[in-house]
Amino acid sequence: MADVKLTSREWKVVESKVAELPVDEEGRPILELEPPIDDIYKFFYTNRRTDGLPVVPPTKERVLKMMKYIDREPDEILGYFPPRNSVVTPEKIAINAVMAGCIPGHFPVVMHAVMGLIHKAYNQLATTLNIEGIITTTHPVHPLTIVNGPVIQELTFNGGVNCFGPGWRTNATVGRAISLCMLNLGGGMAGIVDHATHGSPTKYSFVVAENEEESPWDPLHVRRGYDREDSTVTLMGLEGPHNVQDHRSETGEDLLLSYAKTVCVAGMNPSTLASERWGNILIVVSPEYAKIIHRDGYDIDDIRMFIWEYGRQDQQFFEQIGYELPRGGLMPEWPKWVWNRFDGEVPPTAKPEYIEVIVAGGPGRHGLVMPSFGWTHDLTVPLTLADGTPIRSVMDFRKARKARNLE
Amino acid sequence: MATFCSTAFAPLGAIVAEALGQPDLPISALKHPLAGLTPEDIRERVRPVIDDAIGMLTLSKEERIKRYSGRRWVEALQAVSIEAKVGEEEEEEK
Repeated sequence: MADVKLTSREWKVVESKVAELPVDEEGRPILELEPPIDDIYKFFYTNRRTDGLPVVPPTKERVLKMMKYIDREPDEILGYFPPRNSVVTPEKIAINAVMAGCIPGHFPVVMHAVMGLIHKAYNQLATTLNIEGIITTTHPVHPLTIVNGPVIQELTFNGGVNCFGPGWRTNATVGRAISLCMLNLGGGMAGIVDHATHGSPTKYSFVVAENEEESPWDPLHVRRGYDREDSTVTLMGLEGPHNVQDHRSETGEDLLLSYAKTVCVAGMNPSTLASERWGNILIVVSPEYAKIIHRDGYDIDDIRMFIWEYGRQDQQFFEQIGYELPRGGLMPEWPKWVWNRFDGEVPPTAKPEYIEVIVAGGPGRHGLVMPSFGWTHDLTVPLTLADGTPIRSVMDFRKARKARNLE
Repeated sequence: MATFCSTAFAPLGAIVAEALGQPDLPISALKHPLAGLTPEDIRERVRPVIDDAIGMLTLSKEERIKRYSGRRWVEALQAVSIEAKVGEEEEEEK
């Protein structure tokens, strides 16, 4: 980037002559002059490359700084991002990370989250579901990225007070980078490809760390077979958070009953679209609740079973609104597992283990429930070097990069 | 080959068709929404696209692409301005 600034009027001349700009070896235009920041914002916005908010210009220098935190070639093909099926490379993800406002150290987390979104394991359930379904559905769903492991402290991810809210650069920009990849690589332009009836504020950014320090249970990634020293991202296609306020209960049982009755409402996708294979719900337990629930002897599986047993709805209601006996097809027929197994009651998910639990949040007696899209399942991706070695620090990527002579 | 869907989802259909290597897949759209309609309502919705179906099956390839390519749904949406109509800094007060 040359140290030259243009006025708005001068920049408009350049903008109108993009076709005359010099090109790189692949024919992409090279812009060596920096136009006014408001014109850059407008240029990206009107070309439908942003979420509507200003972006950091993805200059070559900024993108190269991102690449220093990954031990891969910039043009390595990582996969294809549905529904547009764009080729996904580290460089393309890095461009979106720069635009979102990430620092270079954030980049490995963004890249592994995107690798998870496009991983076949996340999309194997059906050809048109999961990330493709999440981007295109009328349902207000977005992939929540749950961060576990040492990168939480290292990069200052927030899993404490106001962890789903604003004020933390790492949560905000990492989540936004993932969202921008869904837009610019997946093609999720609002109203054209993204057909959410209302959408959700989570579509701007949806990242949280587990509050591992204040959890009385093993953190999510350890329960899924990883070492505590590993860092992971877990992806779940969820609605935005719904609060569970309970300032009165004194026992774990009563607190869990509040969660169960909040899960037990009409209109949640996991009840109506779930099957034996997918459809989960996330339960977020605040540290104060976790202390009581743990004190009273509940482990994670106990919490799942409790909510699954007590979070049920009357089957008659669903029949009243038009759900019919299964005829072997999709909606509005009820999943067969409901009719085959339960007598007059509909559980919140097909199986208790489809209810996942994390500890997050700060002081206060509030919890959260987040139903999923229904036609989706979750996936945990470990942060690893290109050869599959788990990292202990994002600085491991720098060392491996030097070892591979990628500098 | 041709596709029918509701108007709201025709642009998405075109994007997916392009991703699957069929950028000129003909798409005809019934007025959205279709949910909750009576059989008679459905008949009314279908009538306008019968001519499309005949055209897709009988026109030359060039004419078929020109008239029915799904691209037109995407282009129509992309042509809609997403900028504020007033309030730009350089705008003079009227």
